[in-house]
Amino acid sequence: MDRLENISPNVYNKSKERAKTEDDFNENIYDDIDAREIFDILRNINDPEHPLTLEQLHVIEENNITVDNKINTVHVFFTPTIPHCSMATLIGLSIRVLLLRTLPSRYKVQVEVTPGSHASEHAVNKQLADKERVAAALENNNLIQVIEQCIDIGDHLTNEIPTDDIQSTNTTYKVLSKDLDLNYECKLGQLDDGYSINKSHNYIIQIKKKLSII
Amino acid sequence: MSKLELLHTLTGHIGRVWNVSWHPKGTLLASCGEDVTIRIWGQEGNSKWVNKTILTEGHQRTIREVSWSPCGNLLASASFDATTSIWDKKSGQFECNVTLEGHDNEVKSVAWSKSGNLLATCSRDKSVWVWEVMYGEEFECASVLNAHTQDVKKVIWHPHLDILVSASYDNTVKMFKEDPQDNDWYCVSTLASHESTVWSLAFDKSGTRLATCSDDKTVKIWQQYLPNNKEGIETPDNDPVWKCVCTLSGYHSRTIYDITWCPLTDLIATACGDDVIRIFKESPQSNPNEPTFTLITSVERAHSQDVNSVAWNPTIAGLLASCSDDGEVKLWQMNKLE
Repeated sequence: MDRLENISPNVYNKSKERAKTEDDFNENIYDDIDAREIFDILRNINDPEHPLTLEQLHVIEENNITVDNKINTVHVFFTPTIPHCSMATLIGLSIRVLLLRTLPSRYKVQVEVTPGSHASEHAVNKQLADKERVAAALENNNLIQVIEQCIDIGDHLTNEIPTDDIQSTNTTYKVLSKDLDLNYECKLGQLDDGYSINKSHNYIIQIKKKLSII
Repeated sequence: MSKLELLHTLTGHIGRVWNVSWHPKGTLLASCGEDVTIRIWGQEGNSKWVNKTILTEGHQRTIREVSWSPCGNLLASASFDATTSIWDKKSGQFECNVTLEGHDNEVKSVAWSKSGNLLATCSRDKSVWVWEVMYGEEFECASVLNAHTQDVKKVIWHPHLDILVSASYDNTVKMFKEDPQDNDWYCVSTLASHESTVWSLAFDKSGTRLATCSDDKTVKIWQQYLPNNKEGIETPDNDPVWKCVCTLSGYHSRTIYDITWCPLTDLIATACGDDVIRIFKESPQSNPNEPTFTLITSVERAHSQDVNSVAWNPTIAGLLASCSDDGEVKLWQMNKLE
């Protein structure tokens, strides 16, 4: 990048961690994925320009996320920091890729620019909704590398894993993470270049590279 | 009451399956997808459908579409690697002996003309290419058509004539034919009415009607009007005019990725992003200039993810193939329950 498009964006505070209720620890209660959970997955995506997260720039906000578990839809509106942001498609793609990798395949994910927040709103939305073009884009090695950098959220987990307890990748461990709200019995299975954390009932989060402490 | 019954689920592909295509004799089915393979399925004896062949090493990236030549001896495959491969069986096994290059990026669709002498490809580079097939094995680019302003999603040929039709991200459908004067291909008509990407299209058996499907969640039926038609529709330049005579809206809840119009039963099937396969039929007393089509049956959760392609078998009435993002290919039979 030759120069920054938005030199001094507004930076906002991070939100507090989700409050734990007794139900969260009750194995007999099925907890559906909700907007807060999607928010927690997306909030730590890095901005392509700044060393800040999408949450800190208010690109991603919890009340711009809708989840309907009856019809399996997830709808995310994201707000580019400036109306002519050329990174809008890249940010949208990063959100899509991360949700593709983390959510169960039954979910239909729609990622759109918050109405009125971008000059080419319609064009950006149409491109992000075209799964064929998204699929082709994700086969582009250069692009996928940039996206990997944006969604590399592994850092936030690293310190939370009780490393002393980890002996083998096949045993079940309790993984605690404030940022991802993972508080489950998990299995760590080795991937090519990292580890995956298997939430026992409904989704897999792949954390690449950053779990080197193991 | 009509019903679409599941006959077989064919598994083997890894990841999204983009397209299914029947051999003209109806005995083989080809499928392709993001695992960069083409699988050919056939019947074992008289019942079970099995994977006969896996074609690999023809492409570097996702194979978006496969298409059999009308003689059934050649198979063309369109890939995101910007090439189109032609497979033949001269050695006894399918081999890729010709690779067509020229498009700037992803090739989205490939189709053979009825005679088998012409091949069309289209790409995200916004162009449609017409290839002439010389001596049945050499391919020469006859024309590069730059009429669309965006990504071209699909090309098909008229069932009898050398008329080429394309569908695009620019929301339009365009028809092309060759000018006999100078052998140059040109756009004869633009069909504009859809409000978003046109993903696919299908002629009826007569070639006088065309069905199109779109990201705008509608199916449209277009009727051809020849010069001096009795309805009094004007035909400038003495070329046939195509008019949208019917819009099927309210049936599909997400993008419609594919449509197929059966030459044997006249039924229309659609593949939709809401995982549903739907079957439409023209009403018996329908007025040809304002036809009505009714949804006669649908299969909820036909696949566990988006349905990407549907194809009616060309020789067995009511046999339908479908494929999905869920990695599966399915065969269905249309049954009439009296």
